[in-house]
Amino acid sequence: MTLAQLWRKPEFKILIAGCLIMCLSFINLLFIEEVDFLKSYSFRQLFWIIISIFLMFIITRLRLKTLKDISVPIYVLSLILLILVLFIGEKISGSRSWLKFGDLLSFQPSELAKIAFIFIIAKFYSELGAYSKSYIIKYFLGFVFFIFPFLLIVIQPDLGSAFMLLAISLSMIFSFSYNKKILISIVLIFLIFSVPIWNNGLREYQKERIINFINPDKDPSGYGYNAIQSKIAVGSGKILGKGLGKSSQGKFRFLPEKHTDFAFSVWAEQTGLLGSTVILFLFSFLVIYPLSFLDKIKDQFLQVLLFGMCSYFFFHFIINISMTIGLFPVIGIPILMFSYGGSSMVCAATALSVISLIIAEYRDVNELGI
Amino acid sequence: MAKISRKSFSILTVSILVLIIFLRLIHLQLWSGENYRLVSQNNFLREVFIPSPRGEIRDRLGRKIAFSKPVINLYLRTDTNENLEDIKTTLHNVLNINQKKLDEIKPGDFPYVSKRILIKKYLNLNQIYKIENELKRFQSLELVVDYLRIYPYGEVGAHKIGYLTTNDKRDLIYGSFLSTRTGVAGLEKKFNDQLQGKLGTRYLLVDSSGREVKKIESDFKQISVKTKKGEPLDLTIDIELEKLIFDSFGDLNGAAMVHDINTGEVLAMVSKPSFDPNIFSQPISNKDWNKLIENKSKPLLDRVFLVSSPPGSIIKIVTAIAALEENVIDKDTELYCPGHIVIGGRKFRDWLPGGHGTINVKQALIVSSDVFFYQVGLKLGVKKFAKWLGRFEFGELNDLPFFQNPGTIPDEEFIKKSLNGKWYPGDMANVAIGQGYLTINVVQASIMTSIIASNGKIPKFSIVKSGKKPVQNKLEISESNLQLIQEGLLGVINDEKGTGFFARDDGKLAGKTGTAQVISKDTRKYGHGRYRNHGWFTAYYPYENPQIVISIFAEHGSSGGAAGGPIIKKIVQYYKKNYIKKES
Repeated sequence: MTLAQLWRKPEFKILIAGCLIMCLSFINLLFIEEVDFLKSYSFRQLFWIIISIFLMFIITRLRLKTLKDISVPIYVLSLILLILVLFIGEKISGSRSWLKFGDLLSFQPSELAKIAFIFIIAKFYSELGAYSKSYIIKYFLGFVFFIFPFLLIVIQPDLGSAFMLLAISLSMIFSFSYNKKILISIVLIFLIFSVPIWNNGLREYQKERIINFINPDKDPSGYGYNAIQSKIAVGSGKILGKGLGKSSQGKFRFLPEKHTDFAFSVWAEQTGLLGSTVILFLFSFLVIYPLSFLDKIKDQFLQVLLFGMCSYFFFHFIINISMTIGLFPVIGIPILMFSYGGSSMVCAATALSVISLIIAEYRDVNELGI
Repeated sequence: MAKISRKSFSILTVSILVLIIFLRLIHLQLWSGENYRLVSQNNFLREVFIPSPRGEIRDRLGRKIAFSKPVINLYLRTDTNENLEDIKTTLHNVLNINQKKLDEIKPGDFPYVSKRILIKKYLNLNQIYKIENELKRFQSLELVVDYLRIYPYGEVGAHKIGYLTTNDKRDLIYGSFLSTRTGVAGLEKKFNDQLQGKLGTRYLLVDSSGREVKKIESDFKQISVKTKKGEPLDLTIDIELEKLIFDSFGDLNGAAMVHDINTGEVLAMVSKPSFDPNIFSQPISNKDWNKLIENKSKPLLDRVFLVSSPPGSIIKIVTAIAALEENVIDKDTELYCPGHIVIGGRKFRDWLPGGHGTINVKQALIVSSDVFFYQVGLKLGVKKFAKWLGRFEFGELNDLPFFQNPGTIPDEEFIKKSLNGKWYPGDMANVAIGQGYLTINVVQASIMTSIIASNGKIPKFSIVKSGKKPVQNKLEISESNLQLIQEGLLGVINDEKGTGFFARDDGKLAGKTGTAQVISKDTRKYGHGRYRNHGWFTAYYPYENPQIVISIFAEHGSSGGAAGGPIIKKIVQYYKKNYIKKES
């Protein structure tokens, strides 16, 4: 098969878009660092990119039925890892979020938890049978599967991942069991409880972050600092950018987390509106193109799974970019595949392969009738 | 999700949110891109200023009239993200800085604007030692060597030297430094480009904590500015002579000028009352400024160039020369001079009530007869008189680089414009003895005397040392007439009846005194109190082979002889001691 023939296949479009993002991520990291390549983030990212492509190669060869079969084991595994990380996890800047294997390898169970949640919801929503019309059952199941990983992540604490899990859960639960009254009641309950949560539940720095999101110029050298520096980085890229390797905001440490949370900022600084639009386009494609298959998929499991995976990509990229351009508080959410990070890269590659697999074979499934 | 499909709803939601992101990116990168680019540059480029000293101004013997003294000031930058309260506490504890002053310091708009605040100026060694340890702790604190302009002779010759002021345009960009103050008056202004050093600018790459990043990229080297010291200015002035003149004026106000006849070099130029230019070397307080401008005796006014007053009897030199050259009289013409003369029905008095009897022009100069020159003036006529005044450069500006009031002479233009073309014999009689419609300044008096003393050479003044001997134009006057006037001027000082006896010393001084009447506009009374007459005295020395010309204008000095005589005597004595001896 030639490349042109490959491109005509929908499932490959998705994989190619994903690989493009990974390559740009490597280029981005390569140019913001000035250390020895073998010790750099870009080298490690390259390693993870290769692993991810290998993983994509394997997953896209799986049968669709296998996806359904591994749903429960993945979810159980993610819960075990989330519990494990609380005891043997590496404490980095106040949070116990990482399981370390040697010096080079480390894993973030919360990344797996998001994927696992999507699998388990898809599996159970598709097996409700006679109860498939019952909102109450769907909300209850959704809540049960959500709350355990959510609480375990909050304890770490990893506000960003917890928030991401919440966003994915809500989008999935309400997409597949929409009820106006319940949606309104949840919003009301949230509003009622938000005051006591604000007063007792949030730590001082978390409150500061929210205050500073609303008014970042109030204390520019404090918590609002990152938000401002990120906006400066993005804005100063202008149309064509400062050029690769000329990110002054990144190089001189004005931007913290430039490899992870603010990877998009330094990219926008180096490549300007042109480069940021490319990223924006690739991610939009990655979300919108699979969604366009949604109505054609008759199998409930695959439909929920596809929707969940799209939601997974969408919330990461929309919230991360919003965060870097001052439209959302800085809460530590990476942009999948583009930020540095092995766990998120591997999980994203898995999600990407699943999407690709569904798009490639949903017709067969309809005929097989699983 | 009854009406709209799950697919459409999701895609619509995603599209709207992506569009919002895209619009925001356009807003940041396209619309505000330029601003953010500037901000990002300020973020990591830190400007460091290196002040440079202003050039010295020295007198003819190399004595410092103005120099720049290094001072060390402590600045606080508010564009770093260090804890301001910690710094304030440290400043209070270590340097005992007033808490009130510290409270006024507000955090800068980090990281948008780079600001520096002067915390304490002129630190002494002990204070520098104390604060030095803290500099390592706080990037925000900076010790900057700056330069304070010092004028060791203070008031002496201040008008000519000038003074400094803030350079608003530069200060906005660089923050205020003493060494970037710019000349706003006198030679400090005229030669500002030569005197002013260049403020060096160096760019450091700094990271977010304000610490220098060692690697300096070539881009930033190109935009840095090398510091350059100001160049010195060497004057022809003898500052000690100026000091002597300034002190000799005592309570009198006025102006004086001494110049070298052969070279045109100005040796002294003094205006009194004066001001201390040192107060302008740093931002002047409103109180000091108001004190200066509200002072009734106008200390800021340069009386050498800007005060133009009737010359009184010293103008009789020109009247005599004009009459002799125009053949209105000759050296033997004798005129009867009683105590007064009637012109146009008005009585014109002589300063000596009894008159001088029958005298010739030389005797008339010696005794300064008014009646003699009334008559000569009437015979001469205003046209010829004005022509000769013009030849002696009255009513004109000279080459010296100062603001000047050229005064007025009764030429055709003046009569037409100011007097509607009406000119009466009485007016002519007045200007012939230096009253009425004729005003001069002290420099013009010196030009006149210089021309007489040098047998017609018009002096070309210089105040900055050049080493070149100027080419002097010559005024065509017959030698015999010049000789006659020179003899007359020698008599003014040394003759028994001479009016300049106050300056009499070794018999080698020649000159002319003058008294200009000051008339109260309201009462038309004159000669007393605030309306005491102005005294003039212009002289050259020595009579044979003349070297210097001295002119004195004594504001309300009553008479030129009494007020100026003793000052001239002191100048001559100084000159003999410091110049004649050395040269022989």
